[in-house]
Amino acid sequence: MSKYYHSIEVETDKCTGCMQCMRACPTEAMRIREGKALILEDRCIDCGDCIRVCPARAVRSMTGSFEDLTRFKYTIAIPSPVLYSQYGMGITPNHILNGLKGLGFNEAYDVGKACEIYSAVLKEHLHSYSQNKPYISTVCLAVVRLIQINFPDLMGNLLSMEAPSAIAGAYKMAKAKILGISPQDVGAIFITPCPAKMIAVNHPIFKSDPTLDGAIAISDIYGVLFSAVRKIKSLEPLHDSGGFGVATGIPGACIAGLEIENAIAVDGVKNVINILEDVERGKITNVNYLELWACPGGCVGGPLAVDNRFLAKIKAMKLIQQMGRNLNINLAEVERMRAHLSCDVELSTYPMQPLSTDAREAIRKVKERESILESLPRINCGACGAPNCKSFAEDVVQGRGEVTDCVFKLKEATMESLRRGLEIAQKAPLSIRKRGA
Amino acid sequence: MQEKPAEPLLEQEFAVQGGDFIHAGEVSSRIKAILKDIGMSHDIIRRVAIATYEAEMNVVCYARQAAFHLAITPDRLMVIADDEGQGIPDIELAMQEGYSTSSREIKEMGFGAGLGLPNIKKNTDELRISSVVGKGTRLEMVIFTRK
Repeated sequence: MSKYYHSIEVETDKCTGCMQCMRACPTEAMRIREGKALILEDRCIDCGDCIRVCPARAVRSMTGSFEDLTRFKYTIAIPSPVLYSQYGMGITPNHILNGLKGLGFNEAYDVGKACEIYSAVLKEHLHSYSQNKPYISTVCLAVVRLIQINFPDLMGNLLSMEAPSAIAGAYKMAKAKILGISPQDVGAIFITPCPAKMIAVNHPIFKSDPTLDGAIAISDIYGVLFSAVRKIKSLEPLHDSGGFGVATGIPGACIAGLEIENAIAVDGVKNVINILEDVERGKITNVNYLELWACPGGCVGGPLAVDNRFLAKIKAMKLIQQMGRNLNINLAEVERMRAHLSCDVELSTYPMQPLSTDAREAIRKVKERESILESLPRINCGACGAPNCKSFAEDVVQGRGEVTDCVFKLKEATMESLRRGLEIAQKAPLSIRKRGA
Repeated sequence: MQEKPAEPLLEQEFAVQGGDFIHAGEVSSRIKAILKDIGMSHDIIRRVAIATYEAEMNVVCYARQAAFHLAITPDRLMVIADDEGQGIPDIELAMQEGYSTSSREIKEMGFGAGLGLPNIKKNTDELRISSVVGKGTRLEMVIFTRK
């Protein structure tokens, strides 16, 4: 299996080993070893649920900082539409775009525009495609990862379409041409609510070339951007997209506009896993389109977003109402961008590996795991450093631990050795031992 | 029943409760997880998952309870579903696509379209059905793992 890029890491000096991340991880990818959290890389889908629960702020998103800007001659901020819903209603999308310029970006690109083009192309795509149904949206990169790892059979259901940020990437290329400088000197920096966007920067899933040059967390920019917005003297008109753009990050908010029957939106990794299992076992037969989101509440619920997701959603819905749901785009633009949204590489899968590549050995391990599990208390206390007894049993057969790492098994073993010790202690030398004792 | 297949490398027993729509599909998921762990191909896993799920749904809709028995031998995979239930009066008829004896309630719940047994047949290499009306039904589903 080829090793793939991860956008999350544990800062071990900050980690207190409190196990919150291990308990929250929806794919059982966390272990606690030597008092520190450890990510099992082949199971992690980069959803960021661990970031959300870590009280020590030790789980870090690999997003960048303002220093990224110095690497380029010209920088374009590409804010996720989620950013529009993070402040009070007095701060409009236009304030935010102007504020970003005030922070030192040469330009602020309105992703709302890209989202509108995306929606138009998506609609066409859904109506003209004949892949396996239900079609699965590829907007959420953590969901794409989940399918690559746990549902390789459903790869054929994934739409062969890039995320809206690819349009921003295309914009960057065009800009470099206009400026007469090399595209490498133009930095397209995404302002992101989610760490998984770093995958698009460092290990693009859909294209052979990255479309983004960096990503900065909304949580890292929130405060400085607020100050920058307050310092704005005169507003330039930078924002011209409609409500559709803002709606893109909210589960289900765009579905009506796609005019596709039986389309559903599902959010939260556990819920997504449940629905994908139903698809896999053939239970879902009449659904045409699945919009899946790893984060509860969609992108406004991203682990790097600042505002409470319920409040943010209300604000986003108000913005959509104010801006209208009409697509503000011309067809020529859609035509130009279509190619940038199509996926030009075969998506790889990283399926979970069997317990052994040798079938007989794997079967032996399955049996051993079941019998170890049978002997465990099955109260999923987590003291062993695995999220539940089942994954602990698997860790043992895979050599990632010993049975006595379970405190209850340790207690049993200790009792047994004490009992044996007592038995020996009660023995007397032959010279004085009574007959029959 | 007739030919005695090789000694199984792995056997496991699962219980399915009639009428338990909430947990229908759990046995199928557990079997799927085991097959992934032992490195079965995706195609085989998919077929077993679909066949087992349909068999589970049959138990949930029409039987009181059932025992599912998974056996893996070097060349095949077998799931035997043995239920205590109403049984099938005419197996040939039940095998026809679209034929269903389901009550209106079950049809209203979106089940009982008469596709269960034909779908199992489609996804298995061998399917043996025996049934005694009023007592129960036994399905033997076989998928060959070595082509």
